[in-house]
Amino acid sequence: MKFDKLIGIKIVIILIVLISFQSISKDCLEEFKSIIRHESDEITKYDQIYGELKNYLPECEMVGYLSDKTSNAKFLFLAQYALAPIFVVNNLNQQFLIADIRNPDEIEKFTNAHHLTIIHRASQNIFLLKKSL
Amino acid sequence: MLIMFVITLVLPTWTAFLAVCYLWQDQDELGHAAIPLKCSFAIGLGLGLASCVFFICLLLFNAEGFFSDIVENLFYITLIFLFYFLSKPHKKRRYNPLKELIHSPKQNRFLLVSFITILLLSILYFLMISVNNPHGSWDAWAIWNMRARFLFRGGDQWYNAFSNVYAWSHPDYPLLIPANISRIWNYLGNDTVIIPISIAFLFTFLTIAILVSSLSYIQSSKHGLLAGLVFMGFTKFIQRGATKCADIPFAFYLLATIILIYLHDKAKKNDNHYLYIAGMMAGLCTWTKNEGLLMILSLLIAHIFAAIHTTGWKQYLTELKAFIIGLFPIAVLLAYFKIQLVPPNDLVFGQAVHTTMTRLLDLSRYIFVGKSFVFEFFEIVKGRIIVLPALFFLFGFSYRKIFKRSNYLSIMVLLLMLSGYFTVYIITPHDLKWHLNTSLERLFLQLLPSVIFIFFMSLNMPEGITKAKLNQ
Repeated sequence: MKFDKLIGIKIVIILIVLISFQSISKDCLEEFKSIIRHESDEITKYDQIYGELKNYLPECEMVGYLSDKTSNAKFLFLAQYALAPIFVVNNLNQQFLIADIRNPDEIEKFTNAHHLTIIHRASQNIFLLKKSL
Repeated sequence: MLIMFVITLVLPTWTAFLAVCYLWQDQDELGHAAIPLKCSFAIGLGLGLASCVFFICLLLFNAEGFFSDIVENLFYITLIFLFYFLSKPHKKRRYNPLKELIHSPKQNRFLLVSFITILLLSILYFLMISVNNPHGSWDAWAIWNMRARFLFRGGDQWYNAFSNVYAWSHPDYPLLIPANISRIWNYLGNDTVIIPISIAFLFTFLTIAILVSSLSYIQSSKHGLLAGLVFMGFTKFIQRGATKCADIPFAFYLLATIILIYLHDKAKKNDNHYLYIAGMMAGLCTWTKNEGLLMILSLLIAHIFAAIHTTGWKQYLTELKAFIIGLFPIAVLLAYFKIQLVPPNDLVFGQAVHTTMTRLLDLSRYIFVGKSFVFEFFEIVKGRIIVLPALFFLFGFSYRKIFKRSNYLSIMVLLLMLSGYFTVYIITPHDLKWHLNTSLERLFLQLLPSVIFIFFMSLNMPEGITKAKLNQ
C-alpha cells in the first residue's frame, strides 16, 4: 500500500494538536483542583505576618532573627522578603529581634534568659522582641 | 491598576516600536506582514529600555521621585520625535487579516483555531498558577521581587538592594526584571503583586508571539502556527513563566537575537540594521541574567567560525561593528553595575585554582552532570520525541542557501551555551546535586524557544502538495 504523504502530514498535525491539548488541559485541571482545595500560599501568609511587624519597627536598618524550626533558613528569607528594605540577620546582636519558635510557651523562658521584652505577637509562633535596657 | 500598568509601558514601547520600524530593513510592500513581529520586538525592547533608563535615573537622582519621572518621560518623548522624523514614509497597503483568514485553505484555519484554543488554555493555566502562587517560585520572591522591593521601598538607600548582608539572594544578579517591577510600583505608589505577575505574563506570551510571528513572516503561517502549537505543548515553559522566573525573559531575548540573525541573512547584503537590534537584544540578555554573558561570548565565537566558513573577514568586521554598536550602551551600563555596585558572583567567588582543578579532573562529576542533562532532556521532550522526527520525515529538510550561515551560527551558539552550562556545573562550588535540581530545567527552558525556531526554520512545508490535494 502506497503511503500517502498528505495523510501522514495531516495525522502528524492532528497528533501535535492533541498532544498539546492533552498537556495543557491536564495541567489546567491540576491547577484548578489546587484552587478548589484552597491550598494556602505560604509566601503570601508569611509575607502578611512578617510584614505586619514593620509597623512596630522604627527606622532601623537591621533586625535579628531566631528560629528553632528545621527549615529556619527559608523562614529567615521570608522574613527578609517581607521586611525589605530592613535587613534581617541571623544573630541576636540587634536591638530588635524576630523569634519564630515551635513551642510558644517557651518564649518567656527565652526572653528572660536574653533580657528581651515582647513588643508584638504577630502569630502563634512569631514574636517581635526588643532588648531591655 | 491595569490602565496604569499599560500607561507606564506606553512611552518606552512606542519608542522601541519606532526604533524597530526605523531599523527594519525590508521596507517593501510586505512590511505590513511584519507588524506582529515588530510589535513583539518593540514590547520586549521597550521593557528592556524602561529598566535601563529607570536604573540610570536612580543613579543620577539617587532616588525615584517626581523629578526623575519627568526626566525619564522627557527622554522617551525626545526619542519618539527623533525616530518619527527620521523614519522614511512607507507604501501604504490595505491589510485585512480577517479576509486573508476566511480565504485561507482549510488546513490553515484548522491550525489557527487549534492555536487559539490552546493559547487560551495556556493563558488560563498561567492565570490559575498566579492565583495559587502570586509571589512566584523561590527565585521570584527571594531574588527578583526581593530586589524590586529594596529598590522601591529603599528610597535614597536603594543601593542596599546590592548589599552582601543578604548574599544568599545573589545581589550581583542584573536588574531587568526588578527595575521594571520597581519602576511601575513607583508610578502606582504601591508594591502590588499584580505587577510582577503582569511582567511575567508579558514575557511568557511575547515569546510565543515572537516565535509564531517570525516563522510566519520568514517561512509561512503554517510554520508559525505549527511551531506555536508544538511550543505551547511544553507546558513547563508556561509554568515557569507563571512562577516568574527570569529564565523566561532571558529565553525571549535569546530567541529575538537569533531571529534577527536570520532576518539579517534574509535582507539585502550591505544593510546591517537588523544587527543593531540584535546587539540590543543580546545586551538585554545580559541585563536579565548572568547567563547573558555566556550567550554573548558564544555568539562572538560562533560568528568567527561562521565567517571562516561562509562570508569572509570583511563582512564579518562590518557585521561585528553593527552588533557592538547595538550592544554598547547596555554593556556599559552592565559593566558599571558589576564593577561599582555589586559584590562578586558566588560561582566566580567560590573558585580557587586547587579546588577548581580538582573538580575539573573529577570524572564522576562529568558522568553525573551528563546523566542529568540526558534525563532532563527526556523529561522536557516526552511524547514529542516521536512527533518531531516524524515532522522531519514527512515534511523534509528545507535547505535554503540564504539561511545556511544563520543555521550554522544559531546551532553553534546554542551548543556553546549548553557546553558553558555543563562546565559551570562541573566547577560549581555548591553541592552538585542541589545545583542541578534547582536550575537545570530552567536552563533548558531558556534554550527551548530558540531550538523550536531553528527546527521549524529547517523544516520544509510542502505548500504545493497541500494546496492541490485540498482543492480536490
